[in-house]
Amino acid sequence: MARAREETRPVRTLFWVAAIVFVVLSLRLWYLQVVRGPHFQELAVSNRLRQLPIPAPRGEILDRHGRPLATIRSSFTASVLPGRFDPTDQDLLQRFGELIHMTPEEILEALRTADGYAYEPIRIKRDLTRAEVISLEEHRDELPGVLVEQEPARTYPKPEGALASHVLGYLGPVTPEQLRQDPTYRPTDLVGQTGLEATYEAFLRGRPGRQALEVNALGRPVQVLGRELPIPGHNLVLTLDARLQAAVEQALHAQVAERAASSRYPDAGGGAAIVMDPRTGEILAMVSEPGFDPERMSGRSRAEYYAALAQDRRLPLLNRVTQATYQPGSAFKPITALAILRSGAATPRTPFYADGYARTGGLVKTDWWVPLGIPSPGTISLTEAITQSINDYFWELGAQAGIEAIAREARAFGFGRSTGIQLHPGDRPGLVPDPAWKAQRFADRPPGDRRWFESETMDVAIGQGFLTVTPLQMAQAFAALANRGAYYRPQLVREIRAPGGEVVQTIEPELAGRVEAPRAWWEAIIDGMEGVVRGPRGTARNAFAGFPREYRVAGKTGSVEVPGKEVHGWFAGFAPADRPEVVVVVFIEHGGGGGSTAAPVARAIFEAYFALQEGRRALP
Amino acid sequence: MLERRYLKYADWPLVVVALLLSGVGLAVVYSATHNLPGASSPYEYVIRQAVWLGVGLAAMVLATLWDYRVIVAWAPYLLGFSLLLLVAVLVAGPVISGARRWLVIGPVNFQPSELAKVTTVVALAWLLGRRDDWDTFLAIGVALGLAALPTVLVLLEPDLGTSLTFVAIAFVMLYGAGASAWRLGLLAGLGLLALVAAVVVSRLGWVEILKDYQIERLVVFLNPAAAKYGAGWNVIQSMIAIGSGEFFGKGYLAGTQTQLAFLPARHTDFVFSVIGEEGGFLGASLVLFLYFLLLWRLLVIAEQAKDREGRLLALGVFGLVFFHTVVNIGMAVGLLPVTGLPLPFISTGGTNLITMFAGLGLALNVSLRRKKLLFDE
Repeated sequence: MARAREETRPVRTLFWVAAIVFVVLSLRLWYLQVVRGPHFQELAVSNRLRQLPIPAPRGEILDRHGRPLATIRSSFTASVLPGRFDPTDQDLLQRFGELIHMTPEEILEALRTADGYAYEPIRIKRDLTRAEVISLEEHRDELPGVLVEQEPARTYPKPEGALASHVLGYLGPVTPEQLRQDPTYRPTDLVGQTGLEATYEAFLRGRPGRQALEVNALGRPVQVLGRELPIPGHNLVLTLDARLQAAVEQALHAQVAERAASSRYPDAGGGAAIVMDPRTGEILAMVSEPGFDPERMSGRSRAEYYAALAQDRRLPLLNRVTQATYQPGSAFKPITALAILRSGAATPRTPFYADGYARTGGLVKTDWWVPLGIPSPGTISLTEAITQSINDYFWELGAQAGIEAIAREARAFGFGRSTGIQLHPGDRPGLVPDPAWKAQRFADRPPGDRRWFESETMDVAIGQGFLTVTPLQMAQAFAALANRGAYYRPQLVREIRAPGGEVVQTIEPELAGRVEAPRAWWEAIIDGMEGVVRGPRGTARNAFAGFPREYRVAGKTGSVEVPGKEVHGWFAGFAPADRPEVVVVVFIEHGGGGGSTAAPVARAIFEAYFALQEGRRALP
Repeated sequence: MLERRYLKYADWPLVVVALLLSGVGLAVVYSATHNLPGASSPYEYVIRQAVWLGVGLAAMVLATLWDYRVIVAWAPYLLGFSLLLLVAVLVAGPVISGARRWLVIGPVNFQPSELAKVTTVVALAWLLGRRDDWDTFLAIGVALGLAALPTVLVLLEPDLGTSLTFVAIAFVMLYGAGASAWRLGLLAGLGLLALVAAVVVSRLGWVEILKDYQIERLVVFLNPAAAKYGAGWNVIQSMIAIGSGEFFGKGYLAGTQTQLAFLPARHTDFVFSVIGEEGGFLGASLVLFLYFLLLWRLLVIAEQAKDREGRLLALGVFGLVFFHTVVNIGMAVGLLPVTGLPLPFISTGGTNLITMFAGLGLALNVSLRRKKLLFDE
């Protein structure tokens, strides 16, 4: 029994420990609620406590060598606090509007965009000038509920003049839909709406901080009660090379502008170019012409600028590299060639006599060189057919191989499906047609319209007809040719880095597909493509005249017939032919044939690429 | 037979106080959540909490069905099982807000660290019941070593607040088993010193040494709530909420801090601030008093227990409830750092509610069987 009593002693001690602790807690409550109660009551109920967000600096976007393509600068924004700003006070609206150069109606309109959000300051005008900031501060006491926020704003330094507008995308005000989905946004926030700004929004945006301020009766901060610092967004390191990007933008823009200025090409004005490393799928440059200035898309005159872009018939907001589909024209012939070889319709050495005409079902197709008065190339093989872009060859043997074989080959090269590039709003799949597709597509038409005709196979064989592709898919397919089979998912981002510099994600090359074929087939086709550039009858020989031979460019031109308008021009190629390290695709809308319009731009791009490579190699 | 014994010997004050606290909890949870954005209905959280309360009561009854000595004899298996689950969490648990704390089993999210709280109480009762003299550093070290198993596993999740619970329970039970206050105090002091040193070093690093992301990790580790809302912010808002309640409170559903969403985590970590704001000093001290009654009943059960295991079990449950209550309220009133421990019986969260009621069940078990002769059938 004595033992038991001994053991119950700790129990009693614990009782007193608990009692003391609870007395301490009660005293603390007494202190907070009774002694300091009125003070806290005032903080809670009166206007003395303000909770203000501290915007987070958006992450930077850097090129592969660390040159900033998008970064941040400091800016001032005029905002109002809902509940403290009286929008029915006409005097106040008038005074406020005069200071920031807005009409009372415009201020009310800006307030309406944030209807229903009662606790976050609403931005009325961004990018205040210094004079506006000073006059707002001077008149602060006459402007209850108005505050000037200092916040980091997006800026695009345009290294070497590179805009990369469609790659970077632009920021726009958060939409009501986005606000509903993610309540951590504040109304009037700017968020990525397209491009990488949109794709990597979650990484780039960071997390806003907050501060609790005690303010006096005039609304001036008396003391900071608590502050949570914002966390900056993550930085993106791209695969782009800013210097190459600038050179490509310049070359493409110059050519497109020249064509557009000519009365011969009334519909010219658009184009696309892409430079890719076939060994990894890394995109070194991506340009859609015309571009836009992303900075103006989020600046103070955004609405006017956006309206002007939206009305431009050249569609500057469209990313032609991923979002536009075109027929590939003759640039598709290397893929048809592989289908022909695989079907057994010909071997690389099978001779073919090109008379310039193909007949099918009472229809006669005439090759492009016949009306130009160019003599028949005579008996040719696959390699020459590619070099001279002989339609006759691909019509006849493509028809023998059949549409199924060509469609299968095209799909093996990645056509007909999106490449999976991580770039908002994603890329379009294009179309690889076949009889099943046609039957379904025209199911509501008479049977005659649903049937697949051999002439349609012939169209597809030379990259026309129902076949459509994006410039990005062309780059991917030519990467497969360059690699003799393998191709990688096109990628724009190499690394995602935390604000401190730590790499949080590395995007590794991802094998997207592999086309299997014997070595001899690849070489026959690629020999033909080298001939395009330097052979005496090559379709791009003029554009590449005098180009150093040791770089061994292999390519293919294409000219796409557009009813009633000038043709589109393509050039797709890679170099060096034996050990390819770069793929270049150039596309120009309604600006003439590929050899004369796209190939010169491609040459300029290859020159810029190798000059940069050599420059880099020369560095210690 | 069984029913009569329950009616006659169950510690009814304990049950009544726990139910009162749970009732307060439902009312406060409604106030804190009825206008929470994203909820499907104003009652979503209350209904869920009520369902968990039902499950908790069932768990309490279940914990009285077997003689506690039988349950204590199962201790190694119970502890082993919950340690296994803790390992499973580290391996297979989804990362939520930077930590792995949950196991997702079908529709149910389950926090194994909660189960481990109860099984650790049982395991310590088992270990401490196996010998008489625990007043040597070696013996204390052995018992702390057992408590260290769940502590370390939970620390790895990471969840500092919960991991400290095991240490606190071990100290209370060791003291109950006869370890002297000075020995335990010395060890606790050393441990505290180590913790303070870690914090001081990190504060120094705050200014110069560490990079942004390292600081963030550190803050998340020491203080998970900080990652969500900001360290200073929520405590300030909590103190304003409580203080502005003044003596009589602002009235039910009328707290401006609570209803206007100034108060973060108002149905979980900072639920006591809602009580302080809407119930004032009167309401808050009444709730404090209820907790004190509950703890007092647990100590009475410990005192009347017929054997060592029984006493230690009741003391373990006392330690569990005491630590949670004091750490949570201390955080809400700005006396203790933010650790994210829930307020027993009131904070939302099913696993914790079940844990607390299961703990009460163990204590009831001890009180039901306190008369030796009468209850051995």
